[in-house]
Amino acid sequence: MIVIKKYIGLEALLFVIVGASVGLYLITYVKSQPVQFHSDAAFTSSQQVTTPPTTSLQATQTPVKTTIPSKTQKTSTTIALTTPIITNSTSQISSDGTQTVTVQTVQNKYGTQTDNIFTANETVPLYSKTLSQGESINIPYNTWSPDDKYFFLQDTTAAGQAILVFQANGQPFANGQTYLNITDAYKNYGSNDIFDQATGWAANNLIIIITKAPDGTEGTSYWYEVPDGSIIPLATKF
Amino acid sequence: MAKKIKRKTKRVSVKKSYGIKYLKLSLLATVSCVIVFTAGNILIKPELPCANSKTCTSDLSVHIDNNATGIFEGHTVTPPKINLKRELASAVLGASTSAGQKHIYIDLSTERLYAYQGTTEFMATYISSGKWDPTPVGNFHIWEKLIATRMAGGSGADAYNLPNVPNVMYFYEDYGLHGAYWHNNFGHPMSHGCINERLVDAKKLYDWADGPSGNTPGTEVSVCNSFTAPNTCVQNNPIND
Repeated sequence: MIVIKKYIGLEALLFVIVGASVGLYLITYVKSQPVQFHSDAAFTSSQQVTTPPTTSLQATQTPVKTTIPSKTQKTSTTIALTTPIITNSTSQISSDGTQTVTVQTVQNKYGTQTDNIFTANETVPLYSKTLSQGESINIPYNTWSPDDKYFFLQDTTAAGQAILVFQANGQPFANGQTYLNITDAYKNYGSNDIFDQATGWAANNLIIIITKAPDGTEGTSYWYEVPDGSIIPLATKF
Repeated sequence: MAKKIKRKTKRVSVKKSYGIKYLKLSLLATVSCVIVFTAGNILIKPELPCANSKTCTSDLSVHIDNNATGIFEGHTVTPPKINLKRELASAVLGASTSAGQKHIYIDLSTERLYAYQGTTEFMATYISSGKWDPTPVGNFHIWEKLIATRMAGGSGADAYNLPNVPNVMYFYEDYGLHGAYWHNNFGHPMSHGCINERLVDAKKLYDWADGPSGNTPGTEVSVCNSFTAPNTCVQNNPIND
């Protein structure tokens, strides 16, 4: 009888050990998973944090640059026809705040508009383009390279957008070009992924390109290397 | 015949008692498993990774090297020169622009930072949160302000060693707000867990925010999964200090 009871006790102990081992294995597996601080999925819990009301988000671009190259003023009604009228001006500073690039849109004599690109303290534009209907030149937020040697702009035309890289000193590149066209370089690279946007700089001379796959999902990300124009595919998606 | 029936009945009842016995033992095993799992879940907290694996504990003080170069993603970077005398003129307590408590919010869904003092928005700008390691979500306080320090970590192609990282404000272990001179891709995740800012933004925020003083904790920092101005900070599984 004692032997039978001892036998049952040992069996019970064995089952407890097996159960505990399974539990230990499961908890070790769960705790070894990477810590998820947050996810992109919809959130189910919320924590109200009381703060006072505020105005809407401040614009991140710096105010209008006020100095422009001007022609001699005349005191007659012809002034309106000979003096450029600035209809819009946007600027963006570099990360360290020492550089500024400005796009000024000027109303021309015959109703057309020209976008003039300036860097800080320059009165002569380093690049100008007369715009057709619906065209514009925009300054992305991350326009400046980290070392302030380059900046890039987004040129929107009827054919689509083009990303243009300039040297900050206004000098042409070694190949004699005023700017490098990243979009053309990507097209020539021949990827099936569709160019989406240039988001910013991964390093002093690497512009990050994100793309869309033909099915509309996120495509491969690339670096565009300035100034040699290489397109480098990346393992990480940005 | 009667003996046969008796033997058969006895076999059936033995089988039934074994079945019940093993059912009870299985139940016992399951209960043990649940107890161990639940206890483990409560008692064992996952170890949080460091933001900067190589300087997690070694470089949590001012460290300036104006002659060093840095490495990030396999590229050499030139750190900014830090003028210690000029920077030390800034007190631990930041400047006050208006009345009320200071509070910094990070919105991970839009990669933006909002700083308030009382009812006034002091600044709003783009940042870069964790890409290779996540930024912790929760409510924290700035526990240390450093004019500059070195940050290093990663491995292989991801290894980085960045001297003179400027205007550092740690809010949770070695996760901090700081300037980033090695990239310019704000509005997109780029870090190993810290909150990267443009250099001008990092300086502006550093000069405004408060570090700890006596028994008073530093400026509160809330890292949110999403944030809606003026006062809704959504946090999924927050870590609170």
